[in-house]
Amino acid sequence: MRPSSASTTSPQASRNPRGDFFRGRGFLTLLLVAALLWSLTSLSWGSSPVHPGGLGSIGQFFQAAIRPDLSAEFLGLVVGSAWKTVAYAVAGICLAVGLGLPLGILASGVLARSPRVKVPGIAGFRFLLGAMRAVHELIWAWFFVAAVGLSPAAAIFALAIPYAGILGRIYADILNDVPDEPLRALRASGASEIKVLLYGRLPMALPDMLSYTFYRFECAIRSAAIMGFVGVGGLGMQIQLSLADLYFDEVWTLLYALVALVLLVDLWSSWVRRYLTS
Amino acid sequence: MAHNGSSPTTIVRLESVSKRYNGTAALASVSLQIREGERVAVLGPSGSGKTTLLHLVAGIERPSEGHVQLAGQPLSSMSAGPRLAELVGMMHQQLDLVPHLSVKHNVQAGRLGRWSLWKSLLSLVSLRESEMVERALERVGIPEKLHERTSHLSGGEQQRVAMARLLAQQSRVVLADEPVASLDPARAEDLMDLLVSIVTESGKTLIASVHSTHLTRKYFSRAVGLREGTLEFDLPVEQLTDEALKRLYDIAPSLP
Ligand SMILES: Nc1ncnc2c1ncn2[C@@H]1O[C@H](COP(=O)(O)OP(=O)(O)O)[C@@H](O)[C@H]1O
Ligand SMILES: [Mg+2]
Repeated sequence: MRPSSASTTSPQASRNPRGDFFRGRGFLTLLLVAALLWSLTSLSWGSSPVHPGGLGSIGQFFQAAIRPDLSAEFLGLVVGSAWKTVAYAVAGICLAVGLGLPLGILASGVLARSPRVKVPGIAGFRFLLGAMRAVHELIWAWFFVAAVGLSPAAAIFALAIPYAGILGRIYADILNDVPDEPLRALRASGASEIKVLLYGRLPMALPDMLSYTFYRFECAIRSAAIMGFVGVGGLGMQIQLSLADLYFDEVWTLLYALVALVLLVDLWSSWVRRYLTS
Repeated sequence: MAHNGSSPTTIVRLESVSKRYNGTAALASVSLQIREGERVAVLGPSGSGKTTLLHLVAGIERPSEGHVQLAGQPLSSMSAGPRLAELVGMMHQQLDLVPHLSVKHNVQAGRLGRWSLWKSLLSLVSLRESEMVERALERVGIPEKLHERTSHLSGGEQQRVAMARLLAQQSRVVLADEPVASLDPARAEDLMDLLVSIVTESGKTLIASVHSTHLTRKYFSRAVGLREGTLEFDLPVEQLTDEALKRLYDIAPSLP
Protein backbone atom coordinates (compact mmCIF):
# COMPACT_ATOMS: atom_id res chain seq x y z
CA MET A 1 0.00 0.00 0.00
CA ARG A 2 1.32 3.43 -0.86
CA PRO A 3 0.90 6.09 1.78
CA SER A 4 -1.22 8.98 0.64
CA SER A 5 1.09 11.71 -0.48
CA ALA A 6 0.79 15.37 0.33
CA SER A 7 2.32 16.33 -2.97
CA THR A 8 0.75 18.98 -5.15
CA THR A 9 1.67 17.09 -8.30
CA SER A 10 -1.22 17.07 -10.74
CA PRO A 11 -2.44 13.80 -12.27
CA GLN A 12 -1.44 14.85 -15.81
CA ALA A 13 2.18 14.43 -14.78
CA SER A 14 2.06 10.64 -15.25
CA ARG A 15 3.97 9.70 -18.41
CA ASN A 16 2.32 8.61 -21.57
CA PRO A 17 3.63 5.01 -21.77
CA ARG A 18 3.09 4.63 -25.54
CA GLY A 19 5.41 7.46 -26.44
CA ASP A 20 8.50 6.08 -24.72
CA PHE A 21 9.56 3.39 -27.21
CA PHE A 22 9.20 5.63 -30.22
CA ARG A 23 11.14 8.41 -28.57
CA GLY A 24 13.71 6.07 -27.01
CA ARG A 25 17.02 4.77 -28.27
CA GLY A 26 15.76 1.26 -28.96
CA PHE A 27 13.62 2.41 -31.84
CA LEU A 28 16.38 4.57 -33.31
CA THR A 29 18.91 1.73 -33.17
CA LEU A 30 16.47 -0.63 -34.89
CA LEU A 31 15.84 1.95 -37.60
CA LEU A 32 19.57 2.48 -38.25
CA VAL A 33 20.33 -1.26 -38.40
CA ALA A 34 17.44 -1.77 -40.82
CA ALA A 35 18.75 1.08 -42.99
CA LEU A 36 22.24 -0.45 -43.07
CA LEU A 37 20.95 -3.93 -44.06
CA TRP A 38 18.76 -2.43 -46.72
CA SER A 39 21.64 -0.38 -48.16
CA LEU A 40 23.92 -3.43 -48.36
CA THR A 41 21.37 -5.60 -50.13
CA SER A 42 20.35 -2.90 -52.57
CA LEU A 43 23.85 -2.36 -53.97
CA SER A 44 24.55 -4.51 -57.05
CA TRP A 45 27.87 -6.15 -56.30
CA GLY A 46 28.37 -7.99 -59.62
CA SER A 47 30.45 -11.20 -59.54
CA SER A 48 33.49 -9.70 -57.78
CA PRO A 49 34.03 -6.37 -56.06
CA VAL A 50 37.29 -5.77 -58.03
CA HIS A 51 37.55 -5.78 -61.81
CA PRO A 52 40.11 -8.51 -62.76
CA GLY A 53 41.61 -6.62 -65.74
CA GLY A 54 42.46 -3.67 -63.54
CA LEU A 55 44.92 -5.64 -61.38
CA GLY A 56 47.86 -5.08 -63.77
CA SER A 57 47.55 -1.31 -63.78
CA ILE A 58 47.04 -1.33 -60.03
CA GLY A 59 50.42 -3.09 -59.70
CA GLN A 60 52.16 -0.56 -61.94
CA PHE A 61 50.53 2.27 -60.11
CA PHE A 62 51.79 1.12 -56.72
CA GLN A 63 55.29 0.40 -58.03
CA ALA A 64 55.53 4.07 -58.97
CA ALA A 65 54.97 5.04 -55.36
CA ILE A 66 58.62 4.51 -54.47
CA ARG A 67 59.96 6.51 -57.44
CA PRO A 68 57.94 9.70 -57.73
CA ASP A 69 59.06 12.31 -60.25
CA LEU A 70 61.32 14.68 -58.30
CA SER A 71 62.80 16.68 -61.20
CA ALA A 72 63.14 20.38 -60.43
CA GLU A 73 60.99 21.31 -63.38
CA PHE A 74 58.11 19.11 -62.26
CA LEU A 75 58.46 20.12 -58.62
CA GLY A 76 58.03 23.73 -59.69
CA LEU A 77 54.77 22.79 -61.36
CA VAL A 78 53.68 20.90 -58.21
CA VAL A 79 54.34 23.86 -55.95
CA GLY A 80 52.45 26.16 -58.32
CA SER A 81 49.46 23.82 -58.43
CA ALA A 82 49.50 23.31 -54.66
CA TRP A 83 49.52 27.06 -54.20
CA LYS A 84 46.52 27.38 -56.52
CA THR A 85 44.65 24.68 -54.60
CA VAL A 86 45.32 26.44 -51.28
CA ALA A 87 44.20 29.74 -52.77
CA TYR A 88 40.91 28.17 -53.94
CA ALA A 89 40.37 26.60 -50.53
CA VAL A 90 41.05 29.84 -48.63
CA ALA A 91 38.86 31.96 -50.89
CA GLY A 92 36.13 29.30 -50.88
CA ILE A 93 36.05 28.91 -47.11
CA CYS A 94 36.07 32.70 -46.55
CA LEU A 95 33.10 33.11 -48.84
CA ALA A 96 31.45 30.11 -47.14
CA VAL A 97 31.84 31.75 -43.73
CA GLY A 98 30.45 35.01 -45.07
CA LEU A 99 27.39 33.19 -46.42
CA GLY A 100 27.08 30.55 -43.72
CA LEU A 101 27.24 32.84 -40.69
CA PRO A 102 24.19 35.00 -41.47
CA LEU A 103 22.27 31.98 -42.77
CA GLY A 104 23.25 29.96 -39.69
CA ILE A 105 22.08 32.74 -37.38
CA LEU A 106 18.76 32.90 -39.22
CA ALA A 107 18.41 29.10 -39.24
CA SER A 108 19.08 28.90 -35.50
CA GLY A 109 15.95 30.93 -34.85
CA VAL A 110 17.62 32.78 -31.98
CA LEU A 111 16.57 36.21 -33.19
CA ALA A 112 12.85 35.49 -33.12
CA ARG A 113 10.84 35.30 -29.93
CA SER A 114 7.35 34.64 -31.25
CA PRO A 115 6.90 31.03 -32.39
CA ARG A 116 4.82 32.24 -35.33
CA VAL A 117 7.96 33.77 -36.84
CA LYS A 118 10.45 31.36 -35.34
CA VAL A 119 9.11 27.99 -36.50
CA PRO A 120 8.67 28.75 -40.24
CA GLY A 121 11.92 30.78 -40.18
CA ILE A 122 13.95 27.88 -38.82
CA ALA A 123 12.32 25.44 -41.24
CA GLY A 124 12.89 27.70 -44.24
CA PHE A 125 16.53 28.52 -43.60
CA ARG A 126 17.38 24.96 -42.56
CA PHE A 127 15.87 23.77 -45.84
CA LEU A 128 17.94 26.30 -47.78
CA LEU A 129 21.15 25.21 -46.02
CA GLY A 130 20.22 21.60 -46.62
CA ALA A 131 19.71 22.19 -50.32
CA MET A 132 23.07 23.99 -50.56
CA ARG A 133 25.00 21.09 -49.07
CA ALA A 134 22.90 18.33 -50.66
CA VAL A 135 24.58 19.11 -53.98
CA HIS A 136 28.24 18.11 -54.06
CA GLU A 137 30.88 20.74 -54.83
CA LEU A 138 31.80 18.90 -58.03
CA ILE A 139 28.26 19.24 -59.34
CA TRP A 140 28.27 22.91 -58.38
CA ALA A 141 31.61 23.18 -60.24
CA TRP A 142 30.17 21.68 -63.42
CA PHE A 143 27.26 24.01 -63.10
CA PHE A 144 29.40 27.14 -62.61
CA VAL A 145 31.86 26.16 -65.32
CA ALA A 146 28.90 25.85 -67.65
CA ALA A 147 27.60 29.21 -66.49
CA VAL A 148 30.75 31.37 -66.26
CA GLY A 149 33.39 29.24 -67.97
CA LEU A 150 36.72 28.01 -66.66
CA SER A 151 37.45 30.81 -64.23
CA PRO A 152 38.68 30.81 -60.62
CA ALA A 153 35.32 32.30 -59.66
CA ALA A 154 33.62 29.07 -60.76
CA ALA A 155 35.82 26.99 -58.45
CA ILE A 156 35.42 29.38 -55.53
CA PHE A 157 31.62 29.57 -55.79
CA ALA A 158 31.38 25.82 -56.27
CA LEU A 159 33.32 25.33 -53.03
CA ALA A 160 31.63 28.09 -51.09
CA ILE A 161 28.02 27.03 -51.61
CA PRO A 162 28.05 23.50 -50.15
CA TYR A 163 30.52 24.59 -47.48
CA ALA A 164 28.26 27.48 -46.50
CA GLY A 165 25.46 24.91 -46.21
CA ILE A 166 27.56 22.75 -43.88
CA LEU A 167 29.00 25.63 -41.84
CA GLY A 168 25.64 27.40 -41.53
CA ARG A 169 23.97 24.28 -40.23
CA ILE A 170 26.71 23.63 -37.66
CA TYR A 171 26.81 27.31 -36.66
CA ALA A 172 23.06 27.15 -36.04
CA ASP A 173 23.48 24.10 -33.82
CA ILE A 174 26.37 25.64 -31.88
CA LEU A 175 24.42 28.87 -31.35
CA ASN A 176 21.48 26.85 -30.05
CA ASP A 177 23.63 24.77 -27.70
CA VAL A 178 25.15 27.67 -25.82
CA PRO A 179 24.37 27.52 -22.06
CA ASP A 180 21.16 29.35 -21.30
CA GLU A 181 21.95 30.93 -17.92
CA PRO A 182 24.13 33.82 -19.15
CA LEU A 183 21.58 34.57 -21.87
CA ARG A 184 18.78 34.65 -19.33
CA ALA A 185 20.81 37.14 -17.29
CA LEU A 186 21.33 39.35 -20.34
CA ARG A 187 17.59 39.31 -21.05
CA ALA A 188 16.99 40.17 -17.41
CA SER A 189 19.08 43.29 -17.88
CA GLY A 190 16.79 44.29 -20.73
CA ALA A 191 18.75 43.08 -23.74
CA SER A 192 16.84 42.34 -26.95
CA GLU A 193 17.52 39.05 -28.74
CA ILE A 194 19.96 40.64 -31.15
CA LYS A 195 21.93 42.10 -28.24
CA VAL A 196 21.78 38.70 -26.52
CA LEU A 197 23.26 37.26 -29.71
CA LEU A 198 26.07 39.82 -29.81
CA TYR A 199 26.86 39.82 -26.11
CA GLY A 200 26.18 36.23 -25.17
CA ARG A 201 25.62 33.67 -27.89
CA LEU A 202 28.36 34.69 -30.31
CA PRO A 203 31.12 35.15 -27.73
CA MET A 204 30.26 31.80 -26.16
CA ALA A 205 29.92 30.01 -29.50
CA LEU A 206 32.97 31.56 -31.15
CA PRO A 207 35.65 29.06 -30.04
CA ASP A 208 33.58 26.10 -31.25
CA MET A 209 32.59 27.87 -34.45
CA LEU A 210 36.19 28.76 -35.28
CA SER A 211 37.41 25.32 -34.39
CA TYR A 212 34.83 23.71 -36.65
CA THR A 213 35.63 26.17 -39.45
CA PHE A 214 39.29 25.16 -39.28
CA TYR A 215 38.33 21.53 -39.43
CA ARG A 216 36.26 22.29 -42.52
CA PHE A 217 39.20 24.17 -44.00
CA GLU A 218 41.10 20.87 -44.05
CA CYS A 219 38.23 19.32 -45.96
CA ALA A 220 38.17 22.32 -48.27
CA ILE A 221 41.79 21.66 -49.28
CA ARG A 222 40.78 18.20 -50.46
CA SER A 223 37.69 19.55 -52.18
CA ALA A 224 39.73 22.28 -53.88
CA ALA A 225 42.10 19.63 -55.20
CA ILE A 226 39.13 17.67 -56.57
CA MET A 227 37.90 20.87 -58.21
CA GLY A 228 40.88 20.51 -60.53
CA PHE A 229 39.20 17.58 -62.22
CA VAL A 230 36.70 19.89 -63.86
CA GLY A 231 39.60 21.80 -65.38
CA VAL A 232 40.04 24.88 -63.26
CA GLY A 233 43.62 24.04 -62.30
CA GLY A 234 45.42 23.08 -59.13
CA LEU A 235 46.66 19.70 -57.88
CA GLY A 236 43.56 17.84 -59.04
CA MET A 237 43.92 18.94 -62.63
CA GLN A 238 47.60 17.93 -62.69
CA ILE A 239 46.75 14.54 -61.20
CA GLN A 240 44.14 14.04 -63.88
CA LEU A 241 46.52 15.05 -66.69
CA SER A 242 49.32 12.78 -65.43
CA LEU A 243 46.89 9.90 -64.91
CA ALA A 244 45.58 10.25 -68.44
CA ASP A 245 49.14 9.95 -69.75
CA LEU A 246 49.83 7.03 -67.36
CA TYR A 247 52.74 9.01 -65.81
CA PHE A 248 52.31 7.31 -62.45
CA ASP A 249 55.56 8.77 -61.07
CA GLU A 250 54.12 12.27 -61.56
CA VAL A 251 50.81 11.20 -60.03
CA TRP A 252 52.66 10.10 -56.90
CA THR A 253 54.57 13.36 -56.58
CA LEU A 254 51.26 15.19 -56.77
CA LEU A 255 49.61 12.82 -54.29
CA TYR A 256 52.48 13.26 -51.85
CA ALA A 257 52.15 17.03 -52.23
CA LEU A 258 48.44 16.77 -51.47
CA VAL A 259 49.08 14.60 -48.42
CA ALA A 260 51.78 17.02 -47.21
CA LEU A 261 49.41 19.92 -47.71
CA VAL A 262 46.58 18.28 -45.79
CA LEU A 263 48.94 17.27 -42.97
CA LEU A 264 50.33 20.79 -42.79
CA VAL A 265 46.88 22.33 -42.61
CA ASP A 266 45.89 19.67 -40.10
CA LEU A 267 48.86 20.53 -37.86
CA TRP A 268 48.18 24.21 -38.13
CA SER A 269 44.45 23.89 -37.52
CA SER A 270 44.83 21.56 -34.56
CA TRP A 271 47.29 24.03 -33.07
CA VAL A 272 44.79 26.86 -33.59
CA ARG A 273 41.97 24.75 -32.17
CA ARG A 274 43.97 23.82 -29.08
CA TYR A 275 44.72 27.49 -28.59
CA LEU A 276 41.04 28.42 -28.98
CA THR A 277 39.63 25.87 -26.59
CA SER A 278 42.24 26.28 -23.84
CA MET B 1 1.97 41.07 9.00
CA ALA B 2 -1.35 42.02 7.40
CA HIS B 3 -1.40 42.49 3.67
CA ASN B 4 -4.62 44.21 2.79
CA GLY B 5 -4.90 46.27 -0.34
CA SER B 6 -1.95 47.67 -2.22
CA SER B 7 -0.23 50.56 -0.55
CA PRO B 8 1.34 53.15 -2.87
CA THR B 9 4.80 51.84 -2.09
CA THR B 10 4.10 48.26 -3.17
CA ILE B 11 6.76 47.45 -5.75
CA VAL B 12 6.17 43.73 -6.32
CA ARG B 13 2.76 42.16 -6.23
CA LEU B 14 1.87 38.53 -6.93
CA GLU B 15 -1.81 37.62 -7.19
CA SER B 16 -2.54 33.88 -6.84
CA VAL B 17 0.35 33.08 -9.09
CA SER B 18 0.81 29.49 -10.24
CA LYS B 19 3.49 28.06 -12.46
CA ARG B 20 3.34 24.61 -13.99
CA TYR B 21 6.02 22.82 -15.97
CA ASN B 22 4.48 20.08 -18.13
CA GLY B 23 1.56 19.80 -15.75
CA THR B 24 3.71 19.66 -12.61
CA ALA B 25 3.15 22.58 -10.30
CA ALA B 26 6.36 24.39 -9.35
CA LEU B 27 4.39 27.17 -7.68
CA ALA B 28 0.76 26.94 -6.59
CA SER B 29 -1.37 30.00 -6.01
CA VAL B 30 1.14 32.24 -4.27
CA SER B 31 0.10 35.76 -3.30
CA LEU B 32 2.64 38.21 -2.05
CA GLN B 33 3.12 41.95 -1.74
CA ILE B 34 6.51 43.48 -1.28
CA ARG B 35 7.03 47.13 -0.48
CA GLU B 36 9.87 49.24 -1.77
CA GLY B 37 12.99 48.96 0.37
CA GLU B 38 12.12 45.60 1.93
CA ARG B 39 14.72 42.85 2.09
CA VAL B 40 12.94 39.56 1.60
CA ALA B 41 14.55 36.17 2.10
CA VAL B 42 12.89 33.30 0.25
CA LEU B 43 13.43 30.07 2.16
CA GLY B 44 12.57 26.48 1.41
CA PRO B 45 14.04 23.09 0.61
CA SER B 46 15.46 22.38 -2.80
CA GLY B 47 12.73 22.11 -5.41
CA SER B 48 10.24 24.13 -3.38
CA GLY B 49 9.91 26.81 -6.06
CA LYS B 50 12.30 29.57 -4.93
CA THR B 51 13.99 30.01 -8.29
CA THR B 52 10.64 29.83 -10.05
CA LEU B 53 9.26 32.60 -7.83
CA LEU B 54 12.26 34.85 -8.57
CA HIS B 55 12.07 34.14 -12.30
CA LEU B 56 8.39 35.07 -12.36
CA VAL B 57 9.22 38.42 -10.75
CA ALA B 58 12.13 38.97 -13.14
CA GLY B 59 9.89 38.33 -16.14
CA ILE B 60 12.13 35.42 -17.19
CA GLU B 61 9.15 33.09 -16.80
CA ARG B 62 5.46 33.85 -17.32
CA PRO B 63 2.92 32.59 -14.76
CA SER B 64 0.54 29.80 -15.81
CA GLU B 65 -2.14 31.50 -13.73
CA GLY B 66 -2.40 34.72 -11.78
CA HIS B 67 -0.69 38.06 -12.24
CA VAL B 68 2.60 39.68 -11.42
CA GLN B 69 2.75 43.46 -11.04
CA LEU B 70 5.83 45.61 -10.82
CA ALA B 71 5.39 49.17 -9.55
CA GLY B 72 1.67 48.87 -10.20
CA GLN B 73 2.00 47.76 -13.82
CA PRO B 74 1.25 44.23 -15.03
CA LEU B 75 4.48 42.48 -15.94
CA SER B 76 2.75 40.76 -18.86
CA SER B 77 2.48 44.14 -20.60
CA MET B 78 6.24 44.72 -20.50
CA SER B 79 8.62 43.15 -22.95
CA ALA B 80 12.36 43.04 -22.48
CA GLY B 81 13.79 46.50 -22.72
CA PRO B 82 14.66 49.61 -20.78
CA ARG B 83 11.39 49.72 -18.84
CA LEU B 84 11.81 46.23 -17.40
CA ALA B 85 15.54 46.77 -16.91
CA GLU B 86 14.83 49.81 -14.74
CA LEU B 87 12.51 47.76 -12.55
CA VAL B 88 14.23 44.42 -12.00
CA GLY B 89 17.71 42.99 -12.20
CA MET B 90 18.80 39.52 -11.24
CA MET B 91 21.85 37.55 -10.26
CA HIS B 92 22.17 33.79 -9.90
CA GLN B 93 24.29 31.49 -7.85
CA GLN B 94 26.60 30.85 -10.77
CA LEU B 95 26.94 30.49 -14.52
CA ASP B 96 25.15 33.66 -15.44
CA LEU B 97 28.08 35.73 -16.63
CA VAL B 98 29.41 35.26 -20.13
CA PRO B 99 32.67 33.46 -19.30
CA HIS B 100 34.39 34.23 -22.62
CA LEU B 101 34.04 37.98 -22.29
CA SER B 102 36.21 40.21 -20.18
CA VAL B 103 34.98 41.58 -16.87
CA LYS B 104 34.30 45.04 -18.31
CA HIS B 105 31.94 43.58 -20.91
CA ASN B 106 30.00 41.66 -18.30
CA VAL B 107 29.59 44.87 -16.31
CA GLN B 108 28.57 46.83 -19.39
CA ALA B 109 25.93 44.15 -20.03
CA GLY B 110 23.92 45.75 -17.23
CA ARG B 111 23.32 48.72 -19.52
CA LEU B 112 22.24 46.76 -22.61
CA GLY B 113 18.57 47.41 -21.96
CA ARG B 114 19.16 51.15 -22.18
CA TRP B 115 21.73 51.27 -24.95
CA SER B 116 20.98 51.38 -28.64
CA LEU B 117 22.04 48.41 -30.75
CA TRP B 118 24.83 50.49 -32.24
CA LYS B 119 26.16 51.51 -28.86
CA SER B 120 25.94 47.90 -27.63
CA LEU B 121 27.96 46.79 -30.64
CA LEU B 122 30.58 49.51 -30.13
CA SER B 123 30.83 48.58 -26.45
CA LEU B 124 32.25 45.20 -27.46
CA VAL B 125 35.09 46.97 -29.24
CA SER B 126 35.84 49.79 -26.85
CA LEU B 127 34.64 50.63 -23.37
CA ARG B 128 31.48 52.77 -23.16
CA GLU B 129 30.67 54.82 -20.06
CA SER B 130 34.03 53.72 -18.73
CA GLU B 131 33.71 55.82 -15.60
CA MET B 132 30.50 54.00 -14.63
CA VAL B 133 32.12 50.59 -15.25
CA GLU B 134 35.21 51.48 -13.25
CA ARG B 135 33.15 52.89 -10.41
CA ALA B 136 31.03 49.75 -10.22
CA LEU B 137 34.10 47.50 -10.09
CA GLU B 138 35.65 49.79 -7.49
CA ARG B 139 32.51 49.48 -5.39
CA VAL B 140 32.60 45.68 -5.44
CA GLY B 141 36.30 45.66 -4.62
CA ILE B 142 37.89 44.30 -7.80
CA PRO B 143 38.90 47.37 -9.84
CA GLU B 144 42.08 45.64 -11.03
CA LYS B 145 40.09 42.93 -12.85
CA LEU B 146 38.66 45.29 -15.48
CA HIS B 147 40.38 43.70 -18.46
CA GLU B 148 40.57 40.13 -17.17
CA ARG B 149 38.74 37.29 -18.89
CA THR B 150 35.75 36.48 -16.68
CA SER B 151 36.32 32.71 -16.72
CA HIS B 152 39.73 33.28 -15.08
CA LEU B 153 38.12 34.71 -11.95
CA SER B 154 37.29 32.75 -8.79
CA GLY B 155 33.68 32.02 -7.86
CA GLY B 156 33.58 34.83 -5.31
CA GLU B 157 35.10 37.30 -7.77
CA GLN B 158 32.55 36.32 -10.38
CA GLN B 159 29.78 37.05 -7.89
CA ARG B 160 31.31 40.49 -7.46
CA VAL B 161 31.20 41.01 -11.21
CA ALA B 162 27.52 40.02 -11.17
CA MET B 163 26.98 42.66 -8.48
CA ALA B 164 28.85 45.25 -10.51
CA ARG B 165 26.52 44.42 -13.39
CA LEU B 166 23.54 45.02 -11.10
CA LEU B 167 25.12 48.37 -10.14
CA ALA B 168 25.41 49.23 -13.82
CA GLN B 169 21.80 48.26 -14.39
CA GLN B 170 20.44 50.34 -11.47
CA SER B 171 17.13 48.49 -11.17
CA ARG B 172 14.70 49.25 -8.37
CA VAL B 173 14.31 45.59 -7.43
CA VAL B 174 17.30 43.29 -7.08
CA LEU B 175 16.67 39.56 -7.25
CA ALA B 176 19.35 37.14 -6.16
CA ASP B 177 19.04 33.37 -6.49
CA GLU B 178 21.20 31.75 -3.80
CA PRO B 179 23.85 34.42 -4.33
CA VAL B 180 26.37 32.94 -1.91
CA ALA B 181 25.46 29.25 -1.80
CA SER B 182 28.70 27.97 -3.31
CA LEU B 183 31.05 29.98 -1.06
CA ASP B 184 32.59 29.24 2.32
CA PRO B 185 30.85 30.93 5.28
CA ALA B 186 33.34 33.79 5.78
CA ARG B 187 33.33 34.71 2.11
CA ALA B 188 29.56 34.30 1.97
CA GLU B 189 29.16 36.94 4.69
CA ASP B 190 31.56 39.32 2.94
CA LEU B 191 29.52 39.07 -0.21
CA MET B 192 26.18 39.38 1.59
CA ASP B 193 27.55 42.50 3.33
CA LEU B 194 28.39 43.92 -0.05
CA LEU B 195 25.11 42.97 -1.71
CA VAL B 196 22.99 44.31 1.13
CA SER B 197 24.93 47.56 1.36
CA ILE B 198 24.66 48.11 -2.40
CA VAL B 199 20.92 47.51 -2.17
CA THR B 200 20.23 49.59 0.93
CA GLU B 201 22.38 52.61 0.12
CA SER B 202 20.19 53.36 -2.88
CA GLY B 203 16.90 52.33 -1.29
CA LYS B 204 16.41 49.31 -3.54
CA THR B 205 14.32 46.27 -2.78
CA LEU B 206 16.08 42.92 -2.35
CA ILE B 207 14.47 39.53 -2.85
CA ALA B 208 16.88 36.65 -2.44
CA SER B 209 16.63 32.92 -1.99
CA VAL B 210 18.90 31.81 0.83
CA HIS B 211 19.82 28.52 2.42
CA SER B 212 21.17 29.75 5.73
CA THR B 213 18.89 30.91 8.52
CA HIS B 214 21.88 32.72 10.02
CA LEU B 215 22.18 34.88 6.89
CA THR B 216 18.41 35.37 6.85
CA ARG B 217 18.36 36.76 10.39
CA LYS B 218 21.42 38.91 9.83
CA TYR B 219 20.58 40.55 6.52
CA PHE B 220 16.87 40.41 5.82
CA SER B 221 13.78 42.13 7.13
CA ARG B 222 11.25 39.56 6.05
CA ALA B 223 11.19 35.82 5.48
CA VAL B 224 8.97 33.93 3.07
CA GLY B 225 8.85 30.14 3.39
CA LEU B 226 8.02 27.94 0.40
CA ARG B 227 7.27 24.26 0.49
CA GLU B 228 6.28 22.26 -2.60
CA GLY B 229 5.30 25.45 -4.32
CA THR B 230 2.99 26.83 -1.67
CA LEU B 231 3.51 29.63 0.81
CA GLU B 232 4.21 28.15 4.27
CA PHE B 233 4.87 31.40 6.12
CA ASP B 234 5.47 35.07 5.50
CA LEU B 235 6.92 36.77 8.57
CA PRO B 236 9.12 39.62 9.71
CA VAL B 237 12.45 37.98 10.61
CA GLU B 238 11.99 38.83 14.28
CA GLN B 239 9.04 36.45 14.32
CA LEU B 240 10.84 33.68 12.47
CA THR B 241 10.96 30.80 14.94
CA ASP B 242 13.12 27.69 14.88
CA GLU B 243 9.83 25.82 15.01
CA ALA B 244 8.67 27.32 11.70
CA LEU B 245 12.02 26.62 10.08
CA LYS B 246 12.05 23.04 11.29
CA ARG B 247 8.61 22.47 9.80
CA LEU B 248 9.71 24.05 6.51
CA TYR B 249 12.75 21.83 6.02
CA ASP B 250 11.33 18.68 7.69
CA ILE B 251 11.46 15.81 5.22
CA ALA B 252 8.38 14.02 6.58
CA PRO B 253 5.84 16.61 7.66
CA SER B 254 3.80 15.54 10.69
CA LEU B 255 0.26 15.00 9.55
CA PRO B 256 -2.43 16.79 11.55
N1 LIG C 1 12.40 24.69 -16.58
C1 LIG C 1 11.80 23.74 -15.85
N2 LIG C 1 11.22 22.67 -16.44
C2 LIG C 1 10.62 21.71 -15.73
N3 LIG C 1 10.51 21.71 -14.41
C3 LIG C 1 11.07 22.73 -13.74
C4 LIG C 1 11.74 23.80 -14.42
N4 LIG C 1 12.19 24.67 -13.49
C5 LIG C 1 11.81 24.18 -12.30
N5 LIG C 1 11.14 23.02 -12.43
C6 LIG C 1 10.57 22.23 -11.34
O1 LIG C 1 9.83 23.08 -10.53
C7 LIG C 1 10.04 22.78 -9.16
C8 LIG C 1 10.56 24.00 -8.42
O2 LIG C 1 11.86 24.29 -8.90
P1 LIG C 1 12.73 25.52 -8.42
O3 LIG C 1 11.93 26.76 -8.52
O4 LIG C 1 14.00 25.50 -9.18
O5 LIG C 1 13.01 25.17 -6.89
P2 LIG C 1 14.16 25.72 -5.92
O6 LIG C 1 14.78 26.89 -6.56
O7 LIG C 1 13.45 26.02 -4.67
O8 LIG C 1 15.11 24.60 -5.73
C9 LIG C 1 11.00 21.62 -9.11
O9 LIG C 1 10.23 20.45 -8.94
C10 LIG C 1 11.65 21.64 -10.46
O10 LIG C 1 11.98 20.34 -10.85
MG1 LIG D 1 16.81 27.06 -7.14
